[in-house]
Amino acid sequence: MSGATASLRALAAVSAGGLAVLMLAVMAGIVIGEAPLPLSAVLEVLSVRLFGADTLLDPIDAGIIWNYRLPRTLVAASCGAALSLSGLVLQSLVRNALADPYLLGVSAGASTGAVAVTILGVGGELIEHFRRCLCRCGAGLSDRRAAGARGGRRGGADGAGGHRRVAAFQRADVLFIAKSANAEQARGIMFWLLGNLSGVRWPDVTLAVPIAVLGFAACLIHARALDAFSFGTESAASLGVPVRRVQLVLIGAVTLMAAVMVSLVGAIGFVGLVIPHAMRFVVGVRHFRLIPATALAGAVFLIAADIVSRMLIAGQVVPIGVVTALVGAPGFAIILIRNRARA
Amino acid sequence: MADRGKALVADLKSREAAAIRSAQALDLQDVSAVFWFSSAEMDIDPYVAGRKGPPAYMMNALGLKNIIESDEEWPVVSWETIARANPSVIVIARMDRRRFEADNYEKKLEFLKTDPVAREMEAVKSDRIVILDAHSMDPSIRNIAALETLAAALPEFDLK
Amino acid sequence: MKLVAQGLGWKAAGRAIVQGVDLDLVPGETFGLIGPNGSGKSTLLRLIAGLLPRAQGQVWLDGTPLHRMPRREIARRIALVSQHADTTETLTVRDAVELGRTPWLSAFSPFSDLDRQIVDDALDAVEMRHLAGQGWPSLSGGERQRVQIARALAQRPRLLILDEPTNHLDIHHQLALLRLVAGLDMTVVMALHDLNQAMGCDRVGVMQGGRMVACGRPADVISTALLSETFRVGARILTDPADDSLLYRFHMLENDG
Repeated sequence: MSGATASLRALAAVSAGGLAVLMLAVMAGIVIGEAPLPLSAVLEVLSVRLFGADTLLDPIDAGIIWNYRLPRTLVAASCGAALSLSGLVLQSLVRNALADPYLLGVSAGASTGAVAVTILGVGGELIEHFRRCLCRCGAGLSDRRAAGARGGRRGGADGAGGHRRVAAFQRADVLFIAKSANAEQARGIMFWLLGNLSGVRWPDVTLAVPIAVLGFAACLIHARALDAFSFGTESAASLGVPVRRVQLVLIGAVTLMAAVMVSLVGAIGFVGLVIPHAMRFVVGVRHFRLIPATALAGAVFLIAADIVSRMLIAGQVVPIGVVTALVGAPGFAIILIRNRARA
Repeated sequence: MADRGKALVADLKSREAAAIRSAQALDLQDVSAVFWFSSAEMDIDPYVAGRKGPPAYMMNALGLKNIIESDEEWPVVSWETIARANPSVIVIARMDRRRFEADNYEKKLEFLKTDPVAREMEAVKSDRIVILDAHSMDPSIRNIAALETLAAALPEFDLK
Repeated sequence: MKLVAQGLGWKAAGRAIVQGVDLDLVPGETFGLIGPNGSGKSTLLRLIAGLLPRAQGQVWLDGTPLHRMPRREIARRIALVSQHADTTETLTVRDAVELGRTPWLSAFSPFSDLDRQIVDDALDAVEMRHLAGQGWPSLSGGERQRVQIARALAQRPRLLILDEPTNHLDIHHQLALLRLVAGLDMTVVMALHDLNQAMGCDRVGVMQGGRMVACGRPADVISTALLSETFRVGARILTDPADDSLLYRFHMLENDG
């Protein structure tokens, strides 16, 4: 009994610490930008907005803090958490260390759709924000079904191979369509391929944050089930895990998270691949610890990547996907090498 | 033929000089501007005129300070930077192209008036927005017509 | 717990791997499953555990059809140690054994002192407690096998299914395992290759070509006729003067090229 109380207290302490780290990262995301805004101004705007205090601040600065940087940072955090959780869950479910959200073809499917819209002008104006996002979810799911059909009834690893092939195929689509684009169109396409947070506003927050929180909850509820997958699906079943149902729920959650985030900010690479591995190294492989750690690290990582993307070259925003790739590509290489050493 | 060409050049030069004179008469101090061409998505960082194209020439000629410091012709600059520079005048492009939502100048106007940060800029609050044909922002003889339109708009803006 | 199976069968790519197997397990008995390679032992064990899709036949646990029971309820009654369960995760020994508590814990119920005690006991039972903090990749094949058995014990099942549990084990741990199994107050079904080990079971079933061709007390079933028919070996039966137990000494059949 005392052991349980102590572990609850430890859990509360760790959760509080994690939230504090997240808050600090969000504050950093608001304070640091192309134009330096003092922390005092940020705090003032937050207190005005949250507690209705009076302010003498310049309305433009106040607007930048409240309407640009705060939503942008919150969406970056949601996106980082959602993408790294997606990667983690897929790696655990298919028992493939190299699985990432792109495995589902969600991101690639979404990118293809976006690029087609950009160049071919397919109903560009008609497709509203949310509907567009839903379409992409649908595209992602049907890609997965197609991949599943191709993968047939073979094992998880082969299925993963199938998905990866589909994803690669769609990347090829993107490249094919992109070839017929001019320079200005190409810049629009870059948005989808490398990610862009500059257009993020409050309505995006109201979509991204609930999806990330729901996805996090769905993953955390299945923490024990995910542990049970470490020795394969048959082992999980013999441990009492309703394998089919858990796979369906989790892949649904992961697809939704990845598709929504891609529809909001484009396909940001490497987050889902590298963050879960780094966290396994730090907190171990048990999902009850790994899931919160991965979500937190993903959120902080993407906020940091967004900050770096705005600071790397003065007066110019480097696509955030370039920053994540700078960190992610070496990380990916390390994972590959470690994996080969183990196999 | 050569005479007609010469006459046209002379005409353009005098129109240019007239436009510049009318602007000089306003004795503009610390008046800045930005040319917004379009945006790949409505809310994301827009394409604006840098320091090396016809818009930069127009701003120079009329005594307007370009708030954009990039040497690219149409760099992507964040609304955060544009809003903080707080230009006195905003020029937006009108075009028939509808590749992006923001190609429509009415959408640009709508954005400027509704975006919680953009609507706080002096140019928007005082309605100092000029609409120019997009073609006149590419190098051609149409630049002179654009220069005239812009110069003609300035006196009504109550600029100091 | 009483397990009754009727007409069990399973096909892979149109080929019958197991067909028409009936089985009644007596509560508390140790049932050995023997047979040559490819005779369907592992598949039959999976069918009993309800782990294979599109299975033919029916399994009842204490009168309840297995397919009507939630996986969780089955896992509280039946634990399986298969031959090929492995992982690339860097789990510790304790992590792996703790997985055995999965069917007894809800999503958020924390690990209780009782759960910890059960895991400790399971580690002790297979003599792995001193390696509890070791990472999975550093374990030998035999150690991994013992951890898997501890995991199954931590499940506190009433039926323990073991697929060739003595594989990879050194002779000490083979004998220790058999003694452990004999002392468990649960029903045990295990596939065995060592016929002398099978002699220690209460009953044995003999698989050949996917069918159970014989079933009964080991001394009645394992005859020289069966050995030449099913296993294609000859054997001399020796008696250990110490305890009068029967031992087989095998040789190739004369006419077997």
